[in-house]
Amino acid sequence: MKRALLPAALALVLGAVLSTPKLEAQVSFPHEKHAVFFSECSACHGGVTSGVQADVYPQLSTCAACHDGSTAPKVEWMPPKDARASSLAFSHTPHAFDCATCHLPGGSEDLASLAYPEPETCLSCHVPGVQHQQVEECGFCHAKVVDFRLTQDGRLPPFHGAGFSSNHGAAAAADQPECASCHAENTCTQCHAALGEPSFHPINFLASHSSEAFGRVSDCTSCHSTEAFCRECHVALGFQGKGELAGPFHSNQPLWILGHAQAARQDLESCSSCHRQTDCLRCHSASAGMRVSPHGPDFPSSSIADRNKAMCTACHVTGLAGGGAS
Amino acid sequence: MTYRKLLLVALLALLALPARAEGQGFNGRARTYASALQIRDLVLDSVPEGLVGGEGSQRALLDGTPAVCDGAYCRFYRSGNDFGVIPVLQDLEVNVWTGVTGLSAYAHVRGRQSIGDWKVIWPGMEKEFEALAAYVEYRRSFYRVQAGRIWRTSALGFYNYDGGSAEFRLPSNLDVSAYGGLSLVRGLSEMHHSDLISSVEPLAPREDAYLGGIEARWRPSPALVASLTYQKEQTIHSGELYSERIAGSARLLVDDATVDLEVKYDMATEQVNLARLAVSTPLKAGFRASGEVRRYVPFFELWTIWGAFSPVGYDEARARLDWTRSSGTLSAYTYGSYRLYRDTFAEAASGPGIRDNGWRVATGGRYSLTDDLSLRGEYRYDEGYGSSRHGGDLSLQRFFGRDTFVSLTGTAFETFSELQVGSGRVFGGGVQGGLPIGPARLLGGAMFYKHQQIERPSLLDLNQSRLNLTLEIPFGKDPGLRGRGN
Repeated sequence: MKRALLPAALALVLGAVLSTPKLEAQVSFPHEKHAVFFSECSACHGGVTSGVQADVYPQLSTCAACHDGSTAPKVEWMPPKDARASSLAFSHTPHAFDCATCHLPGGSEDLASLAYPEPETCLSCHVPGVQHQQVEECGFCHAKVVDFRLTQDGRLPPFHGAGFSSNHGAAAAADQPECASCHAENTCTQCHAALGEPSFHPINFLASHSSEAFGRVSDCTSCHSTEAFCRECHVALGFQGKGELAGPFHSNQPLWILGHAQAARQDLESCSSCHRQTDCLRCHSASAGMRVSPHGPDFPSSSIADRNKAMCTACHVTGLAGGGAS
Repeated sequence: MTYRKLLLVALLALLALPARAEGQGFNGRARTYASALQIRDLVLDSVPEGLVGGEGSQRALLDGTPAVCDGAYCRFYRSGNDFGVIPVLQDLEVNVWTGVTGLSAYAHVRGRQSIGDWKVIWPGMEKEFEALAAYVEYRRSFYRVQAGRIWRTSALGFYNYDGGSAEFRLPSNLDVSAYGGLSLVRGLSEMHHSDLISSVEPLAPREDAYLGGIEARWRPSPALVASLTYQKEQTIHSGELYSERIAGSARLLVDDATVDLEVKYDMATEQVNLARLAVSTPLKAGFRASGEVRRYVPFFELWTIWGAFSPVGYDEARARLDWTRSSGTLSAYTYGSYRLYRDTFAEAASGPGIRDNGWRVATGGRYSLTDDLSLRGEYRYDEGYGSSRHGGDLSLQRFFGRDTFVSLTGTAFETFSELQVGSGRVFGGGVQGGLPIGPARLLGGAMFYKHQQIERPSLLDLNQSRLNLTLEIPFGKDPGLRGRGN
């Protein structure tokens, strides 16, 4: 599996680059084939300059003047119902310069290269750090997040998608400049700065969090310290592990000790939310107690020892070491 | 001068930076959050063994409460006293634009106080002051440098540290950054050698650590963005590593469909902690389908011994279907997942029978009766190793303007197959609301949860009442983007 992941990831990235949607995928109309008939963009896109939304795209009847089935093949095409979903409060009207300036990047004259402008095009004039300080209203360009929560047709922005609040890691890590075009600096810390108000979890989460924690619906440790948050509360409320080999916890299983190894390997994070490391060392130490090895098959002992010998000495040397050194 | 004092001085210096009247100058917000919670703890009690029937160490009291007997006494858990906790948090955030082009400062500090004598109950309340972030930033078109207490979001997750970072925008849409400084424990804003850890962990880290990393983000086309991060934490004195990890993430857009890929790899344990592939695409008639497969293995820093126990984690598949009526007045969703824990090589032939899988389904929706009145509901069933639950929520929300609303909520759920305190049912209800007061915003809510134990008579009900109140006051110039997140 491990060996397969890297090639798979590389293949995905390479495939994505090679199959990157060409510009005609973004601007699907074959403009280059119609250039001879329409020398001016405004012939079809008059609404861009006039500001009349209904005239931004031509009507089918305009196409049908030629595409009538005899002069040219009939076509089925409808203009987009809404403006393209975007976080930018952009309007063409005040940007009254040549269309090619933004839509034909790099000075190209090839209409096959027609595209929506990339952010750099905007930034060539709207320089961050300069213009940003001279504009008092961010909403001049950027839609407010609260307004952009739903697009005009009531759906989430396509780049957020369903369940985004729990699964935005990849997007947030890879695409931070894009996030910043809508979200303020503190958006991340509103949820990730643990010990704050419960803005991420529902109000009844305290009573119901155990199943989500066991199933790792989201990564608890991305916000919470297992020791200083989970365990501190569990200890204070009397839920802490006491190192008992049998007891009322663990569903009162009298033979819990027989199953605890499987349980621990399946969900060690939950164990550590109550149990201290010393609870386990009573048996799982090479230096004292019952000397039961906790290591599974293919345990990479040398890889770990190369990085932190002190960890090994917690069990393999008489006396218990601290995490860093003893 | 101690480290804390240095940080405080630096923070005050940030706030004292001159803010020129032109441009935005400064802005920020103060947010007060207070809640009142009702909690009942567990206490260990005992009775003479002669009062308990049966033989052996594992017995039950007359009412069925499990007990452990040692020859003289039988010990059992019962509910403790009912008591309340009132944690109060005070946040202050400040952005300062210095007047020097590209130079700004940001600080987010938090104070905590618990009313009454219950500081020990609510986690983190013993830490009365915390600087979540406090940094100076200099940003130009092609580079950005930061210094101070910094949050960093990468494919490895969310980290903060005291140090600096430099980010450069190179040709070909390639951003490269390097960062480093004193490492802070995730979710704690404290260095590793912290009393908050040592108070609950005898084998707490005895050294603080440096954190350093490099990251590259690449956008080869408008449809693809990817990142690669390498990061390690090394102890200050002994040079041992607390962690050494590498991670990558990518997002690909194909028309309106998204493909997400995440991989996290722990170089010490040679384990893939996370491998995740998710696809989401719109379908016809307002439907959107999403699917995901992932492998998960928990990650532990090397100051703990947990990694030596060879945790295995699970593989999981998730699917979700969303639908929205074209008018936007009605939307619904359903999702499900199945996870299978990997072979632990530790299964016992006899014993309690630990299940090695879990599954989850849910369905819900939202109906807008009018522009201002909406109804939301969800039912979910989650069964798996360790803890299971099923139940639902229903809420009716009425807006009376942009930030003025009232919401009535009811909830009912049952926990079962739980390792800790057994099964129980919870019924709850309450009201939440929001009210703008000038530029400020007031949010509040009151909920009550009625809890019924099913299996353990000695555990009295764990009823809970909750009150919470948030007052948010913005100040300075409003740039029009108050970022409440979504």
